[in-house]
Amino acid sequence: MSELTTHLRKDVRLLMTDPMFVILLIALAGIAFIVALMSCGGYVNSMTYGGDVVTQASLELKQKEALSNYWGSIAGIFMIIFTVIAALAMTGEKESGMLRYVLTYRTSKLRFYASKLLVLMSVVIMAMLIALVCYLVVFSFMDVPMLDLGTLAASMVFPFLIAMVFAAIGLTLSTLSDKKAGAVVASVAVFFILSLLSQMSIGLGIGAAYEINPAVTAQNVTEFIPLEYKLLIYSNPLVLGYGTTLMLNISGYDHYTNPHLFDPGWGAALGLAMALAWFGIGLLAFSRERMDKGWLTRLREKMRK
Amino acid sequence: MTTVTEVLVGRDLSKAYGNRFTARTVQALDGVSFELREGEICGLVGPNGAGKSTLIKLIMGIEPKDGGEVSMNGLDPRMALGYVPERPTFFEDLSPFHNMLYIARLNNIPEPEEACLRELKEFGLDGWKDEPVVNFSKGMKQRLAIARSVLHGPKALIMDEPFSGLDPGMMLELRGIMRSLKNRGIAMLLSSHELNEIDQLCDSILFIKSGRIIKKEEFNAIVPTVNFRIMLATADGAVPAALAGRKVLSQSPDGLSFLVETPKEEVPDIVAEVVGVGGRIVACGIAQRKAEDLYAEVFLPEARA
Repeated sequence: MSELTTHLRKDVRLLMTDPMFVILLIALAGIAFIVALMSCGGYVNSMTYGGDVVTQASLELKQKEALSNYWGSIAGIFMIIFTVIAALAMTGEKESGMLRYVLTYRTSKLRFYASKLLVLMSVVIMAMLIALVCYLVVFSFMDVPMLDLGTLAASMVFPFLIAMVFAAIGLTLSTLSDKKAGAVVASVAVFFILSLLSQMSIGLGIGAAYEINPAVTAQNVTEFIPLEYKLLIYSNPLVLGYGTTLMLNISGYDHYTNPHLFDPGWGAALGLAMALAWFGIGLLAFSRERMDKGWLTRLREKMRK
Repeated sequence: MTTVTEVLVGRDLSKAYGNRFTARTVQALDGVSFELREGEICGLVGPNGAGKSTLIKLIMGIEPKDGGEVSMNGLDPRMALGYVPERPTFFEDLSPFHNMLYIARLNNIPEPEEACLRELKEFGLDGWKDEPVVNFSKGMKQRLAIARSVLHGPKALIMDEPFSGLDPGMMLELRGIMRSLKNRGIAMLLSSHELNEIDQLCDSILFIKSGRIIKKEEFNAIVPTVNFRIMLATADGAVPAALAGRKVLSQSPDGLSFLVETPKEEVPDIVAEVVGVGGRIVACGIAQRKAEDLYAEVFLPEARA
């Protein structure tokens, strides 16, 4: 049996024996159900009070907007939940001293760490499926026409990527803290700092673009955003929140509320790169737990000499 | 380089802890060397802060060494060492079987399930193999910690304060366990403040102070001299005069008891000399030096000073 499988089996077993896991799944289902009801209500409302002639295309557009709003809300909730859950993934074992004990054996830290991320990924997928089921149940119950499976699947890509990036950030934070409370506080703080930075950098970036070219549109706004703002915008995982509207091809022409910040394919690649980058940063931070001198310490010593 | 019987050798182990803000360093270990032979139980004794825990951490690779090496006849210490921490930690929600199975699989032990069951039975825990460890008593956890540490067939076992907090019954049981491990040929380095247990179990003692090994006492070593104690019925001024040419280690204030260091073959001569000058011997015999005496010899004079 490979070492990764050994760590995975242990992590899955720990997850399954943790009563908080069942509570988490129930809470996620409850939240998703409430958000789905609100989205469905908004959809029905928009259909009832709309003055336009109802066509198949307008129905589909409205429902796509409802779906996008639904995943937007779910992604926001998942971001904070998965940052906190991931921040606790390692600290429990660190706090008890079990991590240190396990690392006295010949253990690959990469595999140990990868196992944690894979388990988190599985929980994210589970949470996404629960959210999808809640959406389908509510919209079926309200007897409204359903979107095809391809559209539903496409709408889930960016919320999944956002949850994964935040899980990777949380896991990185868990390598830095030895206490559960510290990890939770750090993850909440990081979430709010990123949210604040995202709003500020996008707002200021678009404002700067408008100053350069007052005729800027949602489609070409990125061409006029200064580089420093671009760096801030595209390094922040919250930018992925703009992906679902683009994926569903419903982004409007308002460059402030729906800026066309990336193509869906490029955005998905950015999301993957962010998840991988945070995985790498986390792994680097985890190397501090190294028993004998790690490569970083050895390199530092060589440089000193 | 280790010889055939030396299973664990530490050479010039050094470790300093620094404070990056004040640039102050504390030399926790300063060129510590030691050897552990097959089946030897060696006590590691010293006051708090002497460097015992640091030495154990360096041997186990829990902390990087500043200098020196740990060797095990060419074996990887991470594969050939077992470790029982001062406060054994487990995945508390898992059963002892699954706790051990994880370690067994990490070490690629063939037929891991059978090996775990065998060790659990050996340590009298087979009746609780499916019970979560969180329900275990301290004594049961200590037994499980030892069972887990020997699962991969280590050549040497490092035990940090294994008797700490155990009731007398558990201490006796643990003593039996350690003797059975010795019979398996496992060498043990036993850090402990329980000098009585050191007396009962150890073949040798390493005295450590201020990060240096200041003395190694071999209980079973073939030494040319013995400590011979003579007790008289009445004080007689002729007896001290008769012993004047001998190395008298101590004499009781009432003049009734003498402790003489002498070559073994001269013991009958001493008895004859004392009787010859009219000394009335009520008891005499070779005095076995205990860990407590040794501790007092090594540490108390300086503490008083």
